[in-house]
Amino acid sequence: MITIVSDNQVAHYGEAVREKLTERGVEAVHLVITEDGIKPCYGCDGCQTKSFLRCVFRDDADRILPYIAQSDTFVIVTPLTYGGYSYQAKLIVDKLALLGDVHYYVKDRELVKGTGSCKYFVIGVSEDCGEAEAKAFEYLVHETHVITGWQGKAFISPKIYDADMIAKEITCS
Amino acid sequence: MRNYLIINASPRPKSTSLLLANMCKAYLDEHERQATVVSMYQGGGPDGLIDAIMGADVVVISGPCYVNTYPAAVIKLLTEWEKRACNGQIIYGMIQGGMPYSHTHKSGLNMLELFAAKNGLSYKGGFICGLGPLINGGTIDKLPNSKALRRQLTVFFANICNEAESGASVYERARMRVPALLARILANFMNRSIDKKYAARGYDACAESPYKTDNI
Ligand SMILES: Cc1cc2nc3c(=O)[nH]c(=O)nc-3n(C[C@H](O)[C@H](O)[C@H](O)COP(=O)(O)O)c2cc1C
Repeated sequence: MITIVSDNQVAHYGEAVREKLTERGVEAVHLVITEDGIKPCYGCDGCQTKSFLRCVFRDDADRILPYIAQSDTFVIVTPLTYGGYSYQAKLIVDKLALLGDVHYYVKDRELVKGTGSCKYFVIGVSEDCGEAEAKAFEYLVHETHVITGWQGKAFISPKIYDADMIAKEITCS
Repeated sequence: MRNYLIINASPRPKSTSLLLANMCKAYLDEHERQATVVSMYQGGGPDGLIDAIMGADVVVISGPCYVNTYPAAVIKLLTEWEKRACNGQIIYGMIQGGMPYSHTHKSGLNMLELFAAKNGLSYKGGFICGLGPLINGGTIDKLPNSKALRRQLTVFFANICNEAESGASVYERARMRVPALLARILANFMNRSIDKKYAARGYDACAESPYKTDNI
C-alpha cells in the first residue's frame, strides 16, 4: 500500500497523485493533515519512557502514523517552504522518528539510524522555485534517506514533475 | 545600541540549544551588546515572538536538528515573520543534533538562508554542532572535541558580535572526526545502552512499532 499525506494547502496535488497511482492499479490512500491537528514533538522522551514508541500526546498523528507504518511506500506532499517542508508537513515528519528502528548502524563509514526498507517520497509543491531552493529541497530529502536508510526521491511539482510523472516514478522505483 | 535576539528553538526546558544560546548571550554581554534570549515554546509560542523579532537588529536561531532540519515550530516562526514586513535584520543560525556529521544538519541553515534571501534579510552564516545529546543542556566540556568546539564557538560569537559573515570553516574546524571503526564502536555502545534503557522499562527495543498493528 502507498500512503500519501498532504498538507491541506496542497491537498489537490496529493489527490491527483493518488488518482494516477490508482489508474496504474496501485492501492493508494490519501490523507490530509487537518489544520493545527498535529501537536509538535516536544522532545519529551515520553515515547521512550512511558509508552513504547508511541507519542504520549493524542492528536491527528494517531490517524496518520498507522497508515504510514503499514505502508511500504509513503509520500509527503508539502508546499515547498524555504527549501523544505511547510509547518504542517514538518509536524508529521518530526514524528516519523517514532516509526524507525531505534538502533544505530554504520553505513558508508558513517553512523545512521534504522535500516528500514521503506520508500519515502516528498513532493514539494511550487510553480516557480529557483535553483537554490530546488537544490536545498533535494539535499534535505537525500539526507533523510541517508540517515533512515529509506529509498526514494524528492519531486518538485508542478514546476518539474506532474502527477502522472510522479506516479510513474513511484511505481517504477 | 544594536539589539540582539537569540531564540532558543528547543521545546525541552533544559536543552543544548538553550545552553548554546546562553553562551552566545554571555559573549555578547561581555562585549557590551544588548542581547536577550527567548524560548520559542514560552509566552505564546512562535506567534508571540514576532514583536520581539521586529525590535531586533540581529536574530540568532539556536535549535535542535529534527529529521535533518529545525523542528516544525521554526518553520511556523519564519512563515509568521514573513507575513509581517521583514525589516532587513541580520540572521544567524545554530543547529545541533545527535549525529557527529555536519552534512546531516546543514539543511537547517540552508532554510534560514533561503528565508533571508526571499525576504530581504541578511543571512550571515551559522554553526553546526554534533553530539548534542551528550551535552544534554549541561556543559560542552563533556564532549571529546570540547576544546576545539569552545574555541570555534568563540569565533562564531565574535562574528555575530561584529555582524560579520561566518562561513562553514568556522564550525568544520570544531567537528569531531569519527572514523568508520569508531563509528562501529559508538553504534555498539549506544545500541547496548538503548537496549538496557528499554529493558529496564519492560520494553523490547527490537519490537516493531506499535503503529504497525493499529487499526486503519
Ligand atoms: C523528533 C526528533 C528528531 C530528531 N532527528 C534528528 C536527526 O535527524 N539527526 C540528529 O542528529 N539528531 C536528531 N535528533 C536528536 C536531537 O537533535 C538531539 O537530541 C539534540 O541534541 C536535542 O537538542 P535540545 O537539547 O536542544 O533539545 C532528533 C530528536 C528528536 C526528538
